[in-house]
Amino acid sequence: MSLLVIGYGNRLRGDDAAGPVVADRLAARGIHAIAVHQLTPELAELVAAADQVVFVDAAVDATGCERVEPVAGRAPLHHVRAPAEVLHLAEAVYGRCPPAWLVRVSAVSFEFGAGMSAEARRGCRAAERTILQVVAEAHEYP
Amino acid sequence: MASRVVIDPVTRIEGHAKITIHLGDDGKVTDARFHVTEFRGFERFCVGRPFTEMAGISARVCGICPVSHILASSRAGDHLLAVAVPPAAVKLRRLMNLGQIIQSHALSFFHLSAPDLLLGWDADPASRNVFGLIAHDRELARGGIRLRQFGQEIIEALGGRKIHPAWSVPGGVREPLAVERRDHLAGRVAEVKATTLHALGVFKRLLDGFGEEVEVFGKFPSLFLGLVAANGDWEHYDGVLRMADAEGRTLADIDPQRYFDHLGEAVEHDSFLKSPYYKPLGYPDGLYRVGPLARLNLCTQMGTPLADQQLREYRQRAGPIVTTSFYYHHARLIEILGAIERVERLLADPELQSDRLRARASINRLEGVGISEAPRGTLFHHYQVDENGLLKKVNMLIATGQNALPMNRTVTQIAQRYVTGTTIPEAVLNRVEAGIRAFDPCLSCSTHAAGQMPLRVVLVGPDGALLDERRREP
Repeated sequence: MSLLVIGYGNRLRGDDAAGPVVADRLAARGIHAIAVHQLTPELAELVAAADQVVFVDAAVDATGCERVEPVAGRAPLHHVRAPAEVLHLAEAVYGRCPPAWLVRVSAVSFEFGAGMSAEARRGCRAAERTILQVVAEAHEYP
Repeated sequence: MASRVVIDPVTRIEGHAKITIHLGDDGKVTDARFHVTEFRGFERFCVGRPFTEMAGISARVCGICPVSHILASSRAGDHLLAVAVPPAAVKLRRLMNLGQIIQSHALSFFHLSAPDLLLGWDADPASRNVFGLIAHDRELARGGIRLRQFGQEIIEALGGRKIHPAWSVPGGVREPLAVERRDHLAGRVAEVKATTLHALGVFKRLLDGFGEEVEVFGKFPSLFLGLVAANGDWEHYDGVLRMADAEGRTLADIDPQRYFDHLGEAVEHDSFLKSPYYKPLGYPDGLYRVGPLARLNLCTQMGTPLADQQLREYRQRAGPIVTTSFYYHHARLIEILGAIERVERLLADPELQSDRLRARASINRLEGVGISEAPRGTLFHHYQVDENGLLKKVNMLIATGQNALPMNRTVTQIAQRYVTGTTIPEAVLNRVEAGIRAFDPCLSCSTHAAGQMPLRVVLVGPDGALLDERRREP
């Protein structure tokens, strides 16, 4: 069973780097994880080809892991706003939408600059552990 | 009583804008304006930085066309160093620019304009979007997504990332194209070529149904500015910078280093967008268009077989010099096809794997201009530096800014044709917006100048009397 992790966010906006940072760490462990600046329609093809998808994003006052269902959006196609819209695109364009989750990393600051807060760094480690558990359950990682 | 109809914000273009339409007592449009309400400030806050940083800084002007800024900035730096860029680096820069043109044009056509073109102006707004496009023609939508992805993959293969690649620098580029990446790109050429030909077929079949739009979506004589090769081939990176008129006559071949002798920049009170114009004809008569429509008007041939075939058909339909802005859509598709054919040709060149990629030197000039054809039109980066290479002055002429006056005229023309009375159907509002979208404006780039914006709000009555005016002076 194939897993795709998509960590998204702006690495130059403080804690918004959390998604890409988590993706980088998982990729270093051999997991199929990609770090992107923002969600774009080109991701729909990768999503449609996977058996499971995990999105990772920074969020204020939100943590944890929740299931995501496909939802049609009104946003211009060049900048999809939410994982649910990527899933909808995968279903509409490629005819397939795998089970998907969104892991939120707690963020306190999105100010300009590289470097994350201590809370976001802790959240990244927690997110990584959560996703590794998903991988273990999918029998992809010993 | 005079009134205003405001469409704010304009949907499905990059950045933010406002269109104001002025009506007279009879409910007819007296004037319409396209305003830009974004403010960026790049030209001012770059002062004092090393010119070598400008490629990376100016790329952040835009997340859609960073490559264009990177290349124009690098070329300005080439001139400051007074170096000859190695041939392999020139070819690699050309490859990246072609990728940029492909991905940006694909975005414009398939994602921003196609819902209107294929579903119609009067379609339900709830479905006149990309999801409606997918329902109407899933293969076209899928092909469009993958076409844009192809352009982005070229950029990523060269620069290591799809957005803001730090790869082209003054004097050359950092890395060659790896063989495995070249082979991956070459393997996708047939598919994207087929997608583009399919889109051209779809668009040409629709054209007969857009007779009215062709006549009123910005049809007027104007000048055209852009790069063209010495042999008349379509160009996007180097060659001759030419200003031609609506009959195709060359008015000037401009030395890019002296662009300011030919091009002036006017500041409008109602927009952050500067309005460049051709100085010999003055402002605003010196308005000119840039971008796909201009580039196709300026070239004799595309220089590749499939694109040349499409260009011949385009000219048979629209004339040797095309003056209606609605045809920007068609020109964009032909440029995508020509770019793909050039990518295919470049990928077969073993020089792309050369390690002779950079000429190094110290500051040898204190002023330099770099230009490149961004997807939307000619982009200028003009730097003045001190002996240490620190920037003293920066000026950028952005494609969308150069199309500002033509966009205003287009909006006025459309509004005068379709806006009557006080009830404005959705389809009419969308036609006004669509007229702007034909230019594919990118407002994040265009509003880069710093300083106080002179602001003027005017209400004009049907007899031309000034009813009210508010000013904020700089």
